[in-house]
Amino acid sequence: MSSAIPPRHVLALLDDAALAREVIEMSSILARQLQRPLEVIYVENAPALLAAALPFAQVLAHGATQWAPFAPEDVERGYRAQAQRLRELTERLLTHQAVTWSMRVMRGALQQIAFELQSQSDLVVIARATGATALPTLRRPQRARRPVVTALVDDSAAGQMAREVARQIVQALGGMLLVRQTAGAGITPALVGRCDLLVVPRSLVQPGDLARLEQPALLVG
Amino acid sequence: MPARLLEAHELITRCDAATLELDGVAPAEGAAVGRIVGQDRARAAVEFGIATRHPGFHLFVMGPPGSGKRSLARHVIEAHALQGGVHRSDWVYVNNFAHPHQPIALELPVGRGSKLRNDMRELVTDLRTLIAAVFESDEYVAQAERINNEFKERAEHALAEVAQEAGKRGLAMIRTPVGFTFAPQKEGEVMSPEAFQALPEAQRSELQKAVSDVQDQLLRVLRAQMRTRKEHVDRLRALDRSTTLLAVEHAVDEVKSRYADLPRVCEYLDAVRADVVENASDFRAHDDEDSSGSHSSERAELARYEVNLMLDAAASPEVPIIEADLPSYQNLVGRIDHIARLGMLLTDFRLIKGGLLHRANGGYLLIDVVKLLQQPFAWPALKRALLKREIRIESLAEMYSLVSTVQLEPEPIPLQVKVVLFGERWLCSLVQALDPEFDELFRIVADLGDDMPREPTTQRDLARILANQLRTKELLPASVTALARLIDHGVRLAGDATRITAQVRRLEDVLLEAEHVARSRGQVSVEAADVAAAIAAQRERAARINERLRDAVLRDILMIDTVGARVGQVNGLSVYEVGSEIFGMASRISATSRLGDGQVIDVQRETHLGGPLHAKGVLILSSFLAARYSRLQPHSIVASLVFEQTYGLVEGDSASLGELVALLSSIADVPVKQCFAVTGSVNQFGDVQAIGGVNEKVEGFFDICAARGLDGTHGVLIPQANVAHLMLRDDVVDAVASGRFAIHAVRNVDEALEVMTGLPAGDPGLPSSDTVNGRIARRLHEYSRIRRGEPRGARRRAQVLVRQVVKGGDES
Repeated sequence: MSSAIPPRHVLALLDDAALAREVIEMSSILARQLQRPLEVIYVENAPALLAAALPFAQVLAHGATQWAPFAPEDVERGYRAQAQRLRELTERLLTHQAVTWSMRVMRGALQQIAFELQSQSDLVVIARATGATALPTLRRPQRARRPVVTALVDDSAAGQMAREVARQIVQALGGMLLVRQTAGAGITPALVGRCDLLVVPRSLVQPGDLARLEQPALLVG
Repeated sequence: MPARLLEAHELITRCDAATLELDGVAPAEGAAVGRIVGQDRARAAVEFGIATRHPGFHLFVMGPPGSGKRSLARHVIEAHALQGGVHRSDWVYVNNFAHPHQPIALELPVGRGSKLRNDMRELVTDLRTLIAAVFESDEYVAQAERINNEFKERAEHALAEVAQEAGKRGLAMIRTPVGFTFAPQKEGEVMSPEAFQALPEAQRSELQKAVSDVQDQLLRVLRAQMRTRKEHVDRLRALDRSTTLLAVEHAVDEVKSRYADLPRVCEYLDAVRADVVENASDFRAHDDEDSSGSHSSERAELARYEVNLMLDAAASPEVPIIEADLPSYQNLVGRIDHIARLGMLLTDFRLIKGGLLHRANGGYLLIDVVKLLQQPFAWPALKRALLKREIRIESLAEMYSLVSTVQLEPEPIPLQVKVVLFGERWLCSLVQALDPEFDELFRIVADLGDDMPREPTTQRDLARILANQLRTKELLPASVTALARLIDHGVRLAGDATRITAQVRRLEDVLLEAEHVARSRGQVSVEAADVAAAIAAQRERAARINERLRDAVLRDILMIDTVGARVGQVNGLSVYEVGSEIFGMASRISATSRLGDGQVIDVQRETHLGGPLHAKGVLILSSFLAARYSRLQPHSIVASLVFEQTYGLVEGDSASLGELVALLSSIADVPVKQCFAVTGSVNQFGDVQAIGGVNEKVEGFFDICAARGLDGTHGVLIPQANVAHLMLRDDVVDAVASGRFAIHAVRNVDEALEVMTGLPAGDPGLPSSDTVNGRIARRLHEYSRIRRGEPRGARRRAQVLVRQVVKGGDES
């Protein structure tokens, strides 16, 4: 993988999140709207490897009803399978779209990597695996309500950029834009509210904030 | 009484062209009459059969080919149909939602079957819009979201409790690509194995126990969530149902209101409503299908709401009169088609196809019985339908276990139809004899005669029918004389001057050919000469065998003498039938006699070349000889009879007169004139009885004589009873009129003997050399005496005794 990624990429960061489809769709819309290439980055969650290396490690596989022995090799296999799934999903979703895309795999903690990639792109869409979304999902309504995009902005240039990017996304999705002014006191669920995408200047986000978010976030700047 | 020499006018009874005109109107200009004339008995039977409404009173119309069986039935049906009173309905097949393999048949008033079909199409179209709309409405989306969020929060809350408990006990709940796991953590980071091993034993044990506890807790949470999932699904389903019902109820009720008078249709619509509510998703687009495939997929899913209009009575408002051209099993009762898809044969109620019985339901079905019996399973299927009075569509393959796929069992449709079968008599008799159920179903049998009485009205009606044929086909008109000539031909075909053939089609064929002749001659109408030419042409086309035989006679290959005289040799006459053409031909009959034990040997019978009727005729001769000439003495001759140069079966007794003349000639030793031919059967008293084919026989001998040259001596002897049947060709009549040929009508064998031997018949009881019978009596007495071994002196006494017995005298 080349580390010299042009800054004009839209980056979509994913771990084992069930929200992968939504993140890729949203990122592709953004890339198309801004005429940028898309790069999907699968982050292999490093703590899982540590956990699997413990002597008494056990795993409750998806859909299973019993705990099973767990080893680092299982995690490695899981990484490869998940990467393959993401590649196929991206390919299927972007087949008929005028978006140039690529994919790479990194290992570490998702939040940390999101900040490490700051130099590589000013638009990073991020989604992390949460407990709830790990559960099997039921059929969604035939037509979902209009997507809600929340932009957390301040007076900085990144804040203005976040507002503009959010506006363009809403326009492309036919959704609804909520703009909330913040003074940089951290991102709390109460501040974000219920939304489908949070657009926020990177400067306002701390790694710990990302861990608490329940929805995908677009880090701008 | 001597034989009667017939005059020319007795040889043919011509139709008087003037009688064909009614009130001065020629047949060609007259109004058309019914296709059938002179079949009053059959017409009455058909009229009753058509008029009666009792089940089982179906009709069998039998008669010779071309006699107008179909036309008669059709004519009567059309006349009856004008009186109205026939009940008709539309019939449709619809899906049975409870048991899809048993489609439901619905009866609707005329015109409402297609209406229901259109209403259902509109309903489905409306429902696709309505259901999609309600499921995309903000209200539905909000309610569904609310339910989803509720269960999502419950799940997240339960997991958060597990994660919180894990955190309290120094553990982190980690999601991996494989699943969930717990690991000790230190300062928010997962502890490495080395760090964990470095911990005191007690702390490691405590952490391991903590891991075990939270694992159990997570398992309990996940199991509880699986249970709540069922509740979640039920809540969403109930929401879907109530949402669908909102859209469906009004739309279905609106359609139902149009069929409130038809309870079964309303029941069906209720079933539709229930099915739509249960399967609302079929009406909604699926977001995981691509746009090209989703449309056709939806259409296939919604096809179960279609209506299969089996019988649209409105399409043909008049009473159905269906003629079965190909009455195969499937064409009669209908069929169930299949569609091959991905190697499988699929079917449903939409592929049920109606048959002739469906089309004729409420009306009449006309079937040629030959065609019906030629089709496998068609006759039993027709009977089953008529006996049960319902049309049940069954797959033959299923009935005979040829396929094991699931088949449809459509609900039977009540049947109210009048079936009219057509066929020849032998077919009717055959079916009647072989199938006991025939009489139960076809209780009316209309029997069309082979011919009809030759009356002025019959001739006139027939002439009009024939003239009308030309008119409807826009051909040249026929003159009255042409029609009269055609009727003469009809009389000739009947073989009786007092009757006309019922096979009108044969006359039509001649007329059409005559029209062709007239047209080729550039005429503006068909004349008698054209008809004669057509008849001659027809005869010529079928004359190959006749010509070969005649040629053989003229070349003396077949030996027939027409001059001179010979003892024991007579020209008999036979009739040959080749296809529809009949012709006569002379055959030599020879007889020999000698002293014997009173036996007449029929060589044909002995060689198995004689039929039973022929054998009967010869046995009658034997009885006649014994009764007439040997009542008081042993019958002391052995005679043998032969049909010379015949190589096939000889049947019939029409040669028995000729055989008797040959036999008597041989016994009496009296030569028979070979310029005569004879035909007729005799009884035990020597009376001559009528025979068939008299015209052909006379003409057959005439042709041979004419070819060799008529010199005025030639003639034919026919039974007096056959004079009424004479309809001879013009050339024969002309020859008789000019004295070049003769036809003698005889009543008994003595008249024939006198004509053919030139001697008086004489008294059979008086032995004499001057009469034929006298010579016979004398010969038989001689034979008898010889057989008994009596001296010649006894001869006189015997003669006296015989005379007394024969005359009934009492002198001794």
